[in-house]
Amino acid sequence: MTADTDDVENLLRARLENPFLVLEVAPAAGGAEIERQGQRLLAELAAGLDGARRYPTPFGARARTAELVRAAIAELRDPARRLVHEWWAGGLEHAR
Amino acid sequence: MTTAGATIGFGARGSLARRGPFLGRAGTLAAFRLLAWTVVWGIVLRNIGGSVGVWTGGSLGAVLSLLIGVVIPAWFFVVFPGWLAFRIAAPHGMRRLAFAACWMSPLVRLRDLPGIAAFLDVAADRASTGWADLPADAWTALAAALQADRRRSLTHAAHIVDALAHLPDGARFPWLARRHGVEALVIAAVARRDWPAAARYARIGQGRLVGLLALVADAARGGVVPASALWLRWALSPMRRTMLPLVRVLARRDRIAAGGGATVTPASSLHARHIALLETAARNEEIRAEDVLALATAWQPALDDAALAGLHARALELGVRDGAARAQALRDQVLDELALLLARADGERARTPAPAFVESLVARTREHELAHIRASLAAFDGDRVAPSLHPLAAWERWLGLRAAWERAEQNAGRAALATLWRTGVRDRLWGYCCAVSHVHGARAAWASYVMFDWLADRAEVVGDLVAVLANRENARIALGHLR
Amino acid sequence: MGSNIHVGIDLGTSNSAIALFDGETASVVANAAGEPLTPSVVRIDARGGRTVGRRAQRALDGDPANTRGEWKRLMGTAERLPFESAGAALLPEELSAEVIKSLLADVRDAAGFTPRAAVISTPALFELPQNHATTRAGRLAGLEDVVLIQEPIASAISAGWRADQEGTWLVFDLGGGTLDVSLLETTDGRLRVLDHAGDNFLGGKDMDGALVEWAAAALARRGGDVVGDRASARGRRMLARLRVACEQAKIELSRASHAAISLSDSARDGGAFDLEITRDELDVLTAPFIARSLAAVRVLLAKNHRTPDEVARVVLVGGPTLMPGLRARIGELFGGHLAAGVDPMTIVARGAALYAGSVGLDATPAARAPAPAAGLAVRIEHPSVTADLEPFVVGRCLPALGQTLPDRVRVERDDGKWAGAETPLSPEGSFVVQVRLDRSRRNTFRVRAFDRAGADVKLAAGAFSIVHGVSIGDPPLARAIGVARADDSTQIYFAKGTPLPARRTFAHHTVRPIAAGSDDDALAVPIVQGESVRAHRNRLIGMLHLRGVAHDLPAGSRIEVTLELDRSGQLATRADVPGTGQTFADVAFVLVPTATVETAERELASTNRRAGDVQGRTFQLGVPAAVQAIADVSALLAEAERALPLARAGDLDAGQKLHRLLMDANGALDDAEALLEWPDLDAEARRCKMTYTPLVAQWGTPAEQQLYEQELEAAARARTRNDAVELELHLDAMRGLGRAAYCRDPRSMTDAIDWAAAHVTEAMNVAAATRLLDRARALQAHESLVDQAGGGLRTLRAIVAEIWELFPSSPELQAKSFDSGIR
Repeated sequence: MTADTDDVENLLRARLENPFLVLEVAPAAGGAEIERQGQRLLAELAAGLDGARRYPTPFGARARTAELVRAAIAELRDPARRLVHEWWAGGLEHAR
Repeated sequence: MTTAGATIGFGARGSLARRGPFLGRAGTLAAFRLLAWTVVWGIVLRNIGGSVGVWTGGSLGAVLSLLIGVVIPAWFFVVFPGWLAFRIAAPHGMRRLAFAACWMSPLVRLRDLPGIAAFLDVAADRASTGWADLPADAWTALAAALQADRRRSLTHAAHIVDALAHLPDGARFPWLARRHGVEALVIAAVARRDWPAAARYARIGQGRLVGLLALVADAARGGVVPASALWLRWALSPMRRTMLPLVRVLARRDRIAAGGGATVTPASSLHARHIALLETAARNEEIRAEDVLALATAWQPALDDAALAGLHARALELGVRDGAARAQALRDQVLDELALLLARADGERARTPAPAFVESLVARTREHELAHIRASLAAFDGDRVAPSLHPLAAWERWLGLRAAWERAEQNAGRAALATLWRTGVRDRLWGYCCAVSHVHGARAAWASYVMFDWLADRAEVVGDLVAVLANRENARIALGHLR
Repeated sequence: MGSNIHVGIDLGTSNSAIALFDGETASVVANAAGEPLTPSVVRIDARGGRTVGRRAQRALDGDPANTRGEWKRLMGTAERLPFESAGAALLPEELSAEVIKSLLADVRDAAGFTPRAAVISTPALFELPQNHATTRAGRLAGLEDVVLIQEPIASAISAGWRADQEGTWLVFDLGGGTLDVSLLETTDGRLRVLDHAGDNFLGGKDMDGALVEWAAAALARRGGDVVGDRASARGRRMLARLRVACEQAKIELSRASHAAISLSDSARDGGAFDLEITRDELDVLTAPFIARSLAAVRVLLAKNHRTPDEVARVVLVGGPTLMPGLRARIGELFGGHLAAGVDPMTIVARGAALYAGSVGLDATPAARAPAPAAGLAVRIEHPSVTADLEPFVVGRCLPALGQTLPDRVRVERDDGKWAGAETPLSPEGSFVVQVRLDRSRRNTFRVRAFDRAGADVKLAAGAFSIVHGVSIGDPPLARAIGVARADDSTQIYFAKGTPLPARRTFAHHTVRPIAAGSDDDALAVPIVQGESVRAHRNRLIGMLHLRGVAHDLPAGSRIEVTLELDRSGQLATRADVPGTGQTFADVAFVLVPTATVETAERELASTNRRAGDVQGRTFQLGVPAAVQAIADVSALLAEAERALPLARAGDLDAGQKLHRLLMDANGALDDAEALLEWPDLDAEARRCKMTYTPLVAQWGTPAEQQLYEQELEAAARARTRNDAVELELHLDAMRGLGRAAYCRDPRSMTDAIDWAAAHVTEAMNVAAATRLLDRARALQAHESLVDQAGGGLRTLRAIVAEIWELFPSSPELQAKSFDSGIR
């Protein structure tokens, strides 16, 4: 049971760190838009802009870091991983 | 290690001639304590009598001086030592005073004192010396729960609290422990804004402060609590100054951010409902089996062959090479996550015919639960119960298996459990409990009684009459040693 | 970027190179001899003087005791290479540092400054200890900042950074000591690594070795054993001379159809030798190595569901790829789609320099940086290299005391062909502007600021440059990194392909109690690298120790472990214990293990036995997938057998290779065993039924018999459905019921006692076991064991259970999990 609690926490984190949520792009966004938005967020974080430090989810705002943004860009470059993230993000989009 | 089929023997109570000196060390201490009470009570009564005499003689100032300077403190020391120990001495780190006050309290048995000392050490976050000699009892169990809570082993703390909530008749859970011991636990949870944990802990407690904290936890989790009830409880409870800001906020119905958790918005999509359940589970809140099964039923059309074909088509658009396998993997992923949630959920799983997806979910969860029990058994297999394994540690080890078994009892079906019982749990656990009793004797009596009683109940559920009778007898013997 | 210069270094097994990128072109810097390549050879003379490069290489055959080359495969090990005359012994990274120093000196001579930062390339399959050693080499050479890039990515960047080449690529990098095959994809100007494969022990060096053996044998047939005793000083010298001659002949055969292997007369060693070799003969000798390398390519393609036809371009990297035979074979496989106009010898260094540009790693020392101009300070964040023609640029004005924020800004391109609209500043002084780039070139921009009245506000550094080219993601991790748990499973922290830098935290729980103030290794958290779910099949790369805890931690205490990996291959590890406020960061990084030859020999023998067993079961059960999985095992073990005598003779490289081959062979056997699981289980189910059914029928209670029937039916259903998990569940139950019945058989006690008596020396307490056995025997002699209800049988059973207690259980699991203390 103890391991299960950790698993649930990790699963929840994976869902709420969905790359589409982190980058604040729609699930239908194209590759170029994703890259552009990712680079913009990295630049804003490097410049220390407050607005870049958090991103919204249907379950409240979460902290956004440069590592998270880079990982999100890399995840969405892989079509197989993008498929899964797109499916989850699409479902969450309907909840907003 | 004694095997199944044995009953424990704590050693026959020999004749007086074989027992040595008349009273023994415990008896001497008890006698000394009684003498001390007699002396102190005598002095107090004499002082009160003297004060009344002086007052009637007309010297009001002398009376007041006597009352304030001598009588009242002594009166508190004698009549409310528990209050002195846990409200004044312990919070200020005066361990010796707290211990002396407990020693003087007529509410505290001598045998509880070592456990109380250990609890006070843990509450003060101090290393406890002599832990190895301590018995397993409610106080040391609470100390272990407090320690687990502090170390963020919340599931373990929850197991201990649940076991304390379901103690069999005769297993002592002293009033002071329910009051002051549980208070410390609830306060630790409230301090980090973990309202589900606070509510869980408060269920086994008593007293005005615990009552107030339970109400606060309920209100903070969104429960409907009238402001008047909150204020009334606050007015009657100790630590009013500390609790005032919190009560004020709740009475105004402001939302308090739970420690580390996000607010949950009304979920309208399956995905959002799914994540909302994950979030509830991650915060250690209770989730209901019917909610998980309802979600699984709702998932079915979104993950049927037609839906997966659509996903496959999208995979092709994206250039994914093995789209069909990826789509299927997604379905399995959702099923696995639901199984994780269902394994944690409370409540019965309806046995009426269900959609295929739900049937798969229930079957998968059942497998996980049984596998979990089997994995827990490994800790008891070949266990060399040595004096170095503290009786409380032995009892804590049992808690995991207990939780897993009771959950499986609700859901896995009698036949599967009966098989498990006969093919491993019965012999191993029975032998383990006997070994703990044999090795530690009276120090493990409380823990042994609880474990044997539980074993007998489980044997009754699966219809193992031999085990029922033998373990009831074992429990009776252990209980005798407690008295 | 301004006038920044970016430096890339290719640290190769045989040759190294250094390149500069100034924002427009990447050019290789020639060394003092005017050559683009510097041989990776170091010589230390008796006075301690150090020589690097061609001059040192010339001393390889004449003075092998003081000259070292080809140590790249030893990076990350603790092996010190001796230099006899100087009385010194250097680690591999220290030798690499000498080479890097030489390259940096070449830059100083050419460009007038010594670089302070550089990107250094490493093979894609280098593991953490090896990457760590490479970074250390850079730091020892005086670099302040080191970033690592995988060689195939560097090659791909170099070959296609102009972003006009889309599709799937293959980079085939065959160097002196390693093979790296990488599959990449460029889509919309974005370069992505799909997968890696390769062999850390396959390279030109191995082909040279084969050629040397052939030459030595040919010379011996002609006129006696030229090399003689290889362990002797003369033998080593002759071998070194022969190796150099063979390498030269091999290079010659790239241009000509035949070449001579010549050893000049040496007064010390005596004799001159001449041997001719044709290109066809070389092709025959190198065929196994080429086949092995192409096999790696095919496996990589199949794993990623690609066919050779779908590969648009193949980039060849490394000196051995100049071999016509190899190029022909690769050309056959890919229908001739070889990238043209690419210099395989310097492509990696150029790519590393380009990558340095893309991450903005400026090599110019601070002293060279222009003095800051007067004006309002502004910080501008922008991509250095991007495929996006309209990227965002973010800036923030940082007014000093007495300065005010401007009202708005405008960004203009220096060529005058584009200017953005005026953008107001936010209250915190920031602005976000979308600029437009000119395709495939470096674009320089200037930020102009205006106050409310429209007057210019002078900015201190308002210029910046962006190069339009292929957009490169962060370098992905080649092998997964995680933590070993006590049950021999691996918790993956960074999966293969994770972009770096990366940081993850997971919660774990201790399996053992830890006493406060314990000084010894109270708890260990092993860090492993590899793809296997079983911890012992991954390589141990570090150990985090929890020592000196301030509070008692009972078993089951939660600890949060954080791993952080940066681009230079540095791994930081931390364990936090919630509630105590304690953090542990005491990590011992494990070097690549230098297993002793004796250990490797034993492991080779046991692996051979295991392979025989698995192969037997595979053919017996007839599982095609398992047959395929073990197809390579025989070849790997044969290679290991060949490496063993070299390792025994003191060849460190052969020792490393042997270790790696054994790991790979055991990994393949693990895969095969996993595939045999169902047939094995099915066979086990049949066996259980045959064994336990009569036992339960004779000795089981009515309740047990009924339960057994139910389990038998359920097992049959599970077999029909091929449900392994369900079948295992029911077989467990059948075994338990069968054993319970067996224990009622009085003869079972006799069997158990006999076994214990035969193995009494294995008991943890032999004296206690002997006493218990004596009691059991005495009871057997005096009690009737037919009466199941008799107290004697119960007592006997109790004694037997106590005897079992004295025999150890599962020491293997503890060893397999590297003695992990967490779950």
